[in-house]
Amino acid sequence: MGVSSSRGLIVSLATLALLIGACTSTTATPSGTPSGATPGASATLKLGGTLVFGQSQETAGCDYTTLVVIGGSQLTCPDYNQEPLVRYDLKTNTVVPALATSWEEKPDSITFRLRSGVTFQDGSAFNADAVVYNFRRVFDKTFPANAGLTFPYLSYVPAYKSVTKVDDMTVRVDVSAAPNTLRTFSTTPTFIQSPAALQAKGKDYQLGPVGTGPYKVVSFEPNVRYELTRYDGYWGPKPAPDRIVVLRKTDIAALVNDLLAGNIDAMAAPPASQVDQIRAAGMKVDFFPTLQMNYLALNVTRTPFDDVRVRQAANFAFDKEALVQVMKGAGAPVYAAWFPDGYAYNGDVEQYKFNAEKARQLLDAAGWKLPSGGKVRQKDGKDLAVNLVMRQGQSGGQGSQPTVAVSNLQDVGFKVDLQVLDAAAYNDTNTGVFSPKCCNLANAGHASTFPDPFDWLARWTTASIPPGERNFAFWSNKQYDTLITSARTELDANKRIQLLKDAQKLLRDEAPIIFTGREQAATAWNPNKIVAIPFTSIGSRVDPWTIVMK
Amino acid sequence: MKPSYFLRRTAASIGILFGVSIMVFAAIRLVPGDPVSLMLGKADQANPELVAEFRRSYGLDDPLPIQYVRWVTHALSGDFGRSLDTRERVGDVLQRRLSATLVLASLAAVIALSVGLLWGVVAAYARGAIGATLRSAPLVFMSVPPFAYGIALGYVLAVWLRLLPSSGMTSPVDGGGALDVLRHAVLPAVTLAISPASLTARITAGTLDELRHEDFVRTALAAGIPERRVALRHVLPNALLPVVTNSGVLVGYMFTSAVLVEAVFSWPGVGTMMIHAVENRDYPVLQAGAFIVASVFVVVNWVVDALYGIIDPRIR
Repeated sequence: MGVSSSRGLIVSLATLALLIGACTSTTATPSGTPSGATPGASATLKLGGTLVFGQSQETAGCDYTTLVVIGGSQLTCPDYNQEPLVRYDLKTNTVVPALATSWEEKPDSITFRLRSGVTFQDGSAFNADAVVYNFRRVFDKTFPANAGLTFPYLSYVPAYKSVTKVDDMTVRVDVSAAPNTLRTFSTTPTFIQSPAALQAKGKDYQLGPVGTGPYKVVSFEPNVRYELTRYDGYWGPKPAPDRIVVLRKTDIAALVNDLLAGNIDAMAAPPASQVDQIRAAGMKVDFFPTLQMNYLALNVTRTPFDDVRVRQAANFAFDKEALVQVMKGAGAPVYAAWFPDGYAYNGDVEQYKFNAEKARQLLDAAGWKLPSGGKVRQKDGKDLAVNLVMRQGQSGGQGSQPTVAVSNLQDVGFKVDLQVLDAAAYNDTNTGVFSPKCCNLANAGHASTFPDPFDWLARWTTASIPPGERNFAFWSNKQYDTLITSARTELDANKRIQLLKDAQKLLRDEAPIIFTGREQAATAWNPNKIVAIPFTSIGSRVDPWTIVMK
Repeated sequence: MKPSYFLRRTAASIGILFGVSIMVFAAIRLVPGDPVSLMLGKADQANPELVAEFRRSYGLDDPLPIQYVRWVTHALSGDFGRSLDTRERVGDVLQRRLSATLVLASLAAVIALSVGLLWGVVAAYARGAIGATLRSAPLVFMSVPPFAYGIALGYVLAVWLRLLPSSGMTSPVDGGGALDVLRHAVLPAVTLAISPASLTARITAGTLDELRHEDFVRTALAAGIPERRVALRHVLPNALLPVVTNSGVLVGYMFTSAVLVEAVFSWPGVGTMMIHAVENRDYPVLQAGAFIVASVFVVVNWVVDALYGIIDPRIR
């Protein structure tokens, strides 16, 4: 089959997959960092109006510290209600002030000077006592307010040791020496909330949290609807909408209908299959890069991907451009182990550009020969048969890539069985992708917290092999482990970059995964109501200060 | 009427509910997928220590019999625990979701029974092509799954003609009034009512056909009583017996079909709650939801049995 006809088939099949997969969107971006759109950037915004926003991502609660599924590429309640001490500006890769106006970093501590004149939405004062209470509630198991609660993202602040009040507006946090510690204080476990409200509301707190952010929570019905109203006592510049209503519907086609019928003003993640229809109705659609890397993990513990030549062949066989074509702009191709425009990217390695002929040569060299007149390669009388597992509801590029992979791999002589599992079966430690017995290829994605390849590369170490972590390739390489371990503790930035680049080269050469693409987040909106509603960051959030009402 | 009849029915109903509670408790744990691994897996945080901490916190590391006894004990005092997903009180979730489903199911039941009865009577007495069409139409309507009507009705009436809201239970802004809820309920209720209305029409028409040839009808007509009066005073009341019986099944149908219809129209009822609970293996919500739905089904059937006993003394 020629390249163009093959692409046509892929596009058709994957479009069908998109229509099916668009029913739910379950991409989870466990990042708590705001997008880098710091307060003050939009002081000239026209204020007023109500924004009605639709999304398919779960909205289980509004307390950033206890919320498990935060949801990427969506409008996230805690971003509007709570704030951290510092923010991470993803555009400049720097830490910027939030509830702390300045800080002093030492190898074993960070001392934060707190912003004065800030009040929580319940009128109580923000000060050192509030910060100490919040940090002890989350990190200190001996603290009474910690009892009975679970905090899923403690690993985001691995260096935290203890907190001490220096004076009313100064706190010192003791930390273990590690690179890039300050920026971890912009992530979800460190978002500050009213101690009075936490104590008063108890276990129901997550339905009516009280922070210092620009919006108060008026009502919160989990996974159905929540409503926010602007907090007039907010210390920073006011975002545009007076009021924000977020509707959550699992059926994304229902949200498209709502947008077209004028019931909502904007929505997250419009399905690629309906982008043309939405635009034809006079609505706007735009795409924004995220930090989510999509991939197919190749199980190296089982034949045929125990042979590096077969893994490399699978990488050359996968047509990234076809995937982007299917996604109508909602994805960007990735040809090696990190985003081409990303921090510490190693561009000096051979890239996996689509090359079916090279894939066939590698398979021949590995002993997988095409029998005369046959379509499936064989070796020692066995077919080159693999099974690919995806999760029901995987959407975007992640949802489309299995169909592209099936077609591409079959073109070079694989026999591929595509299996769709529900989320629980997919995540099951005995039968799902966490088990080496599950499958040859696991369809997945990884959203990084920071624009730094470390988190992503650390996923492929021996320590990250399931059941505890998500090295779904079950790949283990001592040289690679050493590189990552060194990068984890290296304080010299240039040396660390070199370690990360070396790791990328090894990962590319060993190819335990098929590098497929970078997810793009999208919003669709009614231009009669809204001028712009971008995902301002590669962290894939709609930030309050970037919404421009008509 | 003998009290023993009611006692027998009541004892049977309690036994059924007890059996349901065990079945639901066991069945959801037999399905692959651990709720904590799933939840933390979605958050990319499924490391063994954290999973163990969450399981301990949620009481999921206790032996199953202990978990069951604890659940039953608490449930009997009205405490269904908290959702693993949202940490809300399950009782609060159920109250909200059950109210929404009852609004939808009640409206659908009214539509189904009134339209179905009228349809059945007209079909039984109409002659020629109209009668034939009205008699065969129910089969056509019953053979199409309800969500297909839902999608078609939604597109035409909501997106295209913009006569009704496309989904949800209230308007996004300042909604929630009775009229607002009613407007939102029309499409899903009609969708939900089409199949049971067809079934009611079919049963009514068939029963009327049989009754019209019974001796007591011929006798009444021979005595000179007008046909319309015979139909209204003698035939129709007798035709209601199978319709009443069927109404118990209809309630069950309403709840099971509501799962699909609520999903199509994003109606925040028990159906969408259960789908979400299954996807997330949210045991407390799933157990309580299934138990409450089963209870409604059992209670309605108990009422139907009681009515049946009143209407037809032979079965007491």
